Amino acid sequence: MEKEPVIKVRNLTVQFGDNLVLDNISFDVNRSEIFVILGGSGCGKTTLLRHLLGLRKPQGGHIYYNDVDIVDASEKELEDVQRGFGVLFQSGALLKSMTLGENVALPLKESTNLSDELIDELVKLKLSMVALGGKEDLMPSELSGGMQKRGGLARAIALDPEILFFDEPSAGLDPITSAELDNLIIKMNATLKTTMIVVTHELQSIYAIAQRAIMLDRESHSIIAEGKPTEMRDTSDHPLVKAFFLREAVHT
Amino acid sequence: MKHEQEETVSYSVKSETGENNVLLLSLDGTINFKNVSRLQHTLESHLDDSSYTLVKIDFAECKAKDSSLSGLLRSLQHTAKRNNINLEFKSIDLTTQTLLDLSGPEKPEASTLLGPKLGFVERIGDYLLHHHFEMSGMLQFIGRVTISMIWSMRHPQKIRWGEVITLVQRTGAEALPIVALMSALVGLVIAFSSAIQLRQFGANIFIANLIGIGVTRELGPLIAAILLTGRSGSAFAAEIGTMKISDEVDALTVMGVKPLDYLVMPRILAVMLTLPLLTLFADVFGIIGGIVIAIASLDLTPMAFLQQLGKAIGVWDVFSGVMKSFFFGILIAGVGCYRGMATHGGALGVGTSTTASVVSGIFLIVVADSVFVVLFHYLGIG
Repeated sequence: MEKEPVIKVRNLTVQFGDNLVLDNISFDVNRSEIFVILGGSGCGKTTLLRHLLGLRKPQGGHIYYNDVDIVDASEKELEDVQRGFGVLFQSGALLKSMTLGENVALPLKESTNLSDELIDELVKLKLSMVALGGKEDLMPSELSGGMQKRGGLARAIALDPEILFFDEPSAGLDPITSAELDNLIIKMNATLKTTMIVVTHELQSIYAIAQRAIMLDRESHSIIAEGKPTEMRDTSDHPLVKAFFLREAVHT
Repeated sequence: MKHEQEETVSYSVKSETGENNVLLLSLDGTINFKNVSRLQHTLESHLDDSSYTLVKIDFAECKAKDSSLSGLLRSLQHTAKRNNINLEFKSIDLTTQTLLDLSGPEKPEASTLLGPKLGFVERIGDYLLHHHFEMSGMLQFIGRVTISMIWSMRHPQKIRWGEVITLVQRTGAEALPIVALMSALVGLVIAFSSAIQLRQFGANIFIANLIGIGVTRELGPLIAAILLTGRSGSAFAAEIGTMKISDEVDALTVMGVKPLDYLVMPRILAVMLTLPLLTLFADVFGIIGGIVIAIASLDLTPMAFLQQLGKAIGVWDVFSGVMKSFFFGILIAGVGCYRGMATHGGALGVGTSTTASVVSGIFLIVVADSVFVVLFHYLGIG
């Protein structure tokens, strides 16, 4: 697989008031890979994701998507970049006032001129891809947690995004459901060749899906390890990286 | 079943007033959450007695049922430290000792969490430093809404009319009964209080002028606007706020759907349409309230009232009220949506936004109304 970076993050610094969250971090994400951002609770994983999505402006640094810097981009340019995104939020973030089918149809209706019949067919197709076929008339509140996430995924892939983002896909799911979701991610990556960025701290998930990963640290606000998870576990001498993979408490 | 005897703790005090001023307390009994505060009170009164420099408490005969003893010991240590008394515990049971070890040593910075005390001027500076984001956020919101509004006027086919109609139904049609009731009652009350005065001068007929002008110019628009703030402005803040905290607003953004066009614009448009209509409705019912009093306590006929009303109010009176309400509508929906979009921090955040939307909504309506009154006066059209 050729290494062609789609996303280049350079010297990203994020601060909330006096509270430094990310300090001068840089990394690349290659095309068609499953890239995992990992780290303990409160290390700024979700914050990093929100900046990658262009939902927040950082205090310093640049984020390039195919050489477009979304930090300095105009609103129009940012929207064009965001059009290539699909996002599965932690809670699924389905619009609670609409049925599952309407949720999946929403991006299709808003961004394309497809006929209603075609949209209907596409919605059914996307829903059956995430094993939710025939559930399009249910409201999000009638779905289980795992189904809501898969519904969110169906909506995220509605426009065949170039890059898919996942915020803690297995949070709050039982082991079986989260394994199913992992398999779905791997299968979609293999078939659609979508670049995927996954934020997680679930060890099982990390081993299952990650092709490359970075690990963030809460204390130094920076990346403390980069590479394949198994390599990170076996070769890193950083005590926090070891503790993370061996699931040990760190006494400081 | 035998009634369980209440577990009590008794303690005995042996004071050793030697050269070192040492007090020895030994306790026996069972300590639990029910009786611990009584014990704390007693023990602390000993610690507050500053004639001792060392206090030893012996727990050999004492059993702890729960974590109450650990809490008690920590709190006693605080009191002892404050009073410069050395405190020693003897024979603490293993569980309690483990709990104490678990909670770790006292962190000195924990008690200074409140930060330094600020003076009045410093507080203003501090507020401005930390809240200027809010200000710029609001200005950004106003700017974006204005741009969206102009854009929507040029592309009316892009407005989500279906949503607008649903919202007109919710904010307008469903508000009719309460607007009718409220304005009729206010009309009634105003007419009733002025009827007594007017009768003294034999000016009964002028009740029509009073009610007509008062209701169409001020009361109708204000009643409708305040009710709409309470019914719909708050609902907008809560709806959008809930969507915001459950990532739905961010989800819309990355889907290529602008939350401003999708959520805010239909709401502002709907309220812009409904509030003037609600105001007309409130005008009619306010006047009906006046008529009822005119008939009942001023011996006027409905015909006489209406004839006088026709002479008293002109098109401008009704129109100025309706025009004002058009702007009130923008304010109400704008504030509600802004508060919703600015929501952060869970269920509490939604509550705060909802409250803020109503309070600042009503405040802005009254301010705007005053501006209009002054403006109309100086333009010579009041």
